[in-house]
Amino acid sequence: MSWNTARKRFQRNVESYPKALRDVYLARANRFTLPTFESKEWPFPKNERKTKTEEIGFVNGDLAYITEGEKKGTVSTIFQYSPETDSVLLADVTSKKLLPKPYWVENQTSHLVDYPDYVKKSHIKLAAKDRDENGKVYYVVADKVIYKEKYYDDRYKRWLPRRYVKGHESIEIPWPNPPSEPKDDYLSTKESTVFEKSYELQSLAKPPVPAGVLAELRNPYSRYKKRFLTEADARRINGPEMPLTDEQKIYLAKKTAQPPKVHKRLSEDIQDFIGARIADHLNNIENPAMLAHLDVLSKSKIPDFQKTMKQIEEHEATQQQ
Amino acid sequence: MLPSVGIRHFSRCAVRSARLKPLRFTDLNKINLNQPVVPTHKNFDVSPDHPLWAFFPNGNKATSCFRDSSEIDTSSRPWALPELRRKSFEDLHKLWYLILKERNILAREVRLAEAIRENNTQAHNELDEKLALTQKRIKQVLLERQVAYERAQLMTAEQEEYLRDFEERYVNAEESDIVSYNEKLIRLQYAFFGIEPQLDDFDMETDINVNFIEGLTYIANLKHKRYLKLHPQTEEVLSTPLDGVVEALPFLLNDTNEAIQELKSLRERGTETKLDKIDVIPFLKRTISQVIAERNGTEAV
Amino acid sequence: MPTMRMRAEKKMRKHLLEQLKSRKIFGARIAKGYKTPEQLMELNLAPQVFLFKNLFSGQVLYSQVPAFHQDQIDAQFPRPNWQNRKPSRRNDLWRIMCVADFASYDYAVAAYDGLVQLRYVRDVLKPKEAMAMRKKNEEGNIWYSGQYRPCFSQEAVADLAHVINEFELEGTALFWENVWRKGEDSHWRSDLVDHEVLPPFNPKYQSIMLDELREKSLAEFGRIREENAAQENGEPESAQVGTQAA
Repeated sequence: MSWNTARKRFQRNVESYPKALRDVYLARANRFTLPTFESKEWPFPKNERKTKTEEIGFVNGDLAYITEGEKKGTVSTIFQYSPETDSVLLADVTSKKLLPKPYWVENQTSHLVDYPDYVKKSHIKLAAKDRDENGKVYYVVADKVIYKEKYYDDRYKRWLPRRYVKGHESIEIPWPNPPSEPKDDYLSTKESTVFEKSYELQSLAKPPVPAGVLAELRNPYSRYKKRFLTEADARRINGPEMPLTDEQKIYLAKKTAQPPKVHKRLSEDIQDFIGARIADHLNNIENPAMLAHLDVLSKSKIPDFQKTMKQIEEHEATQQQ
Repeated sequence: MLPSVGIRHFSRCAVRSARLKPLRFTDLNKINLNQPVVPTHKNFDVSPDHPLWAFFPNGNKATSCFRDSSEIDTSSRPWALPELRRKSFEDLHKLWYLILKERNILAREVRLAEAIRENNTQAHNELDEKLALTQKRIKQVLLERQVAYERAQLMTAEQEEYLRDFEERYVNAEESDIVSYNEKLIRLQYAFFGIEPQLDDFDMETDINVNFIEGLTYIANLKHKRYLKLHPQTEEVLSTPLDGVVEALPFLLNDTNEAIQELKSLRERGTETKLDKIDVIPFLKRTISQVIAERNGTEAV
Repeated sequence: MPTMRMRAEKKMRKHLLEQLKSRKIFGARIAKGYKTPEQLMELNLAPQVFLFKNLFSGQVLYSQVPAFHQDQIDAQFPRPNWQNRKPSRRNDLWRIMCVADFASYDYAVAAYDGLVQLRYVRDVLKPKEAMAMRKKNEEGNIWYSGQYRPCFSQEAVADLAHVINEFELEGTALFWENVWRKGEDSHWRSDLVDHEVLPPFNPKYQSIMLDELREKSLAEFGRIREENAAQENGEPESAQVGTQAA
């Protein structure tokens, strides 16, 4: 889609429309669609769509238990997931729709066709089918699924996590067989060519890419790499110095006129008095947890206290001199 | 610049009276108009290696200018990062351009589809997204390598420690192990200093640099120290440590024993071997290319 | 408040505007007016006809000289309509399509007259016939893309072939901007016409290329005339002398 990015500037950005406008837009768009094929859902923005299998939680061919709507309580097979609306097409959830003749497919004889309906992803739960000892079929419905260790799945030609029912982690729900084997097409590369190894790190002294390529990998003119601030930037970062109000000036003048505050050591009497009060209080405490807590608290160092003590010592030193 | 004008014959029957046909239409109302002449490409040949053929899927064998969605590749997937990480820069470069050509073809087709009001270009767009993803991954792989390289440049302490450790092991190695240690040394000199194992592989323009000098000094000192360790009673001339590339270079080019002989003769002659900084690299280039030429010459003989 | 102007000043302004209007040039001065063979010779022009195509609409303009004028446009598009509009004089829109070299000035002038007359027939006398031969779109109008209608240049090529075949203008050389325009070889009589290609040129220097072509053609024409004059002297029995030589 890279060829029409330049034109994006002139297109209206539908994705960022607010709710009210979206409805208007949908109504307008639906004027040109067939009456039974109206779109009611607003597609998810691209960055919110789920594309990875792990995020989606299921693949085509999985069983799903329907929790809402007409078919509530039935199990059906998923045959397509649509990331735009975060919903799925199920094998058994269809409705009759009218199709005009120009849109008929081969061997169609009636205007009425069974057309699959979208079911929200939140309205289904992953299900699995199994047989008990007597050979009777039963279904397992997973409220939530958790992923565990990864394994290489040869059917999908990729690494997949094993999934288990949350809370019943002995029950594994295996990934179904892919609907079709992955095929080669005219742009596919041969497996042997892909696995051929032509790069190995041999030297720390030789750069891995030629110098000319580096400028194409990284933007040398990136504005995030600027080492120097412009004057405008500097001004934006450092706000102007605000002028002082009259009250502030008066306060500051008073403050400078006063002699600086001097901390002094507490006298013996006062130390004794405070110690006695604290001891009284502590002796009354019976809760061992509280005592343990206070014990820990007494070991913590308070920086402000230390600072004050240091000031006092300095003051005493100057006094002695 | 102008093509030669075809020889035209001066008309002898140009005089109107002598002409069978008059030089004007007699009656405009009786003229039978000619059909418009439709241009035809049969009047010129298109070169089979015209560069614009690159914009067609089969090059000059293309039979149509637009592929519909059934002819577009829909089932292959983009290259994965682990697959690309195995490939050398040259391979990635090639792959990049193959993808670029394919994307150009697709872009042309989509542009054409716009012009002819053919709206079914979904398959083109999807394939292009896959191709673009591969291109992004190629960039990612190259950047990963570059970042790793740049970080390795900062790990000087670890490198130095390893080199010191190796020096100790090499100097104290048993006689039976020295062959494998020498092989290790060759790998090490390429890994740490970029010194090629074969003299012929040297690129005189780029390979002789500060790194090379560092490596050269390291190797020469290593070998010299080992020699001193094996022969504790050597003359005073040989026992002082090496000083400068002139003394160090023989240890890279020759056997240790030959290098020692050379060092001895150098020191006994008492010539000044210390070079100015600016002369070091030219000296190395000159000497090494001389040695290469000599060796090739003797081999040829 | 409107600016006050003296009566003399007003008069002066009016006079000046008239002057400016009368001095406005609608195209190349050399292309103004019809040229007889004698005038062509006097002006040191070669026996050529120039076919310019309009890049915007595909219409074709005939000219006796390597340039064009508004008068020619007015004369050659007598019945403009929405499908065949009167083209603009903008010189960036007219690109040379074909240069026709003829064996004599009489031929060149006759060919030019014939082409203009055929255009007149197509547009005025037999518009329905002409329309019937054009390629149509599904709405029954002349096929177009944007404003471009390729049928007009195809008609001009057909008319050129018509004129050459009708008058039997032997020794004609056609210099095509692109040979594909000449169409199938069956349209042309090989004993009358040689087809060649214009040299590659930068559109910016089109006029220079055309002038070089004129000079070359003139030199060639002079050389042939001298050869013929020599033959005339050698063969006194042939009393027929070309009009140019006369």
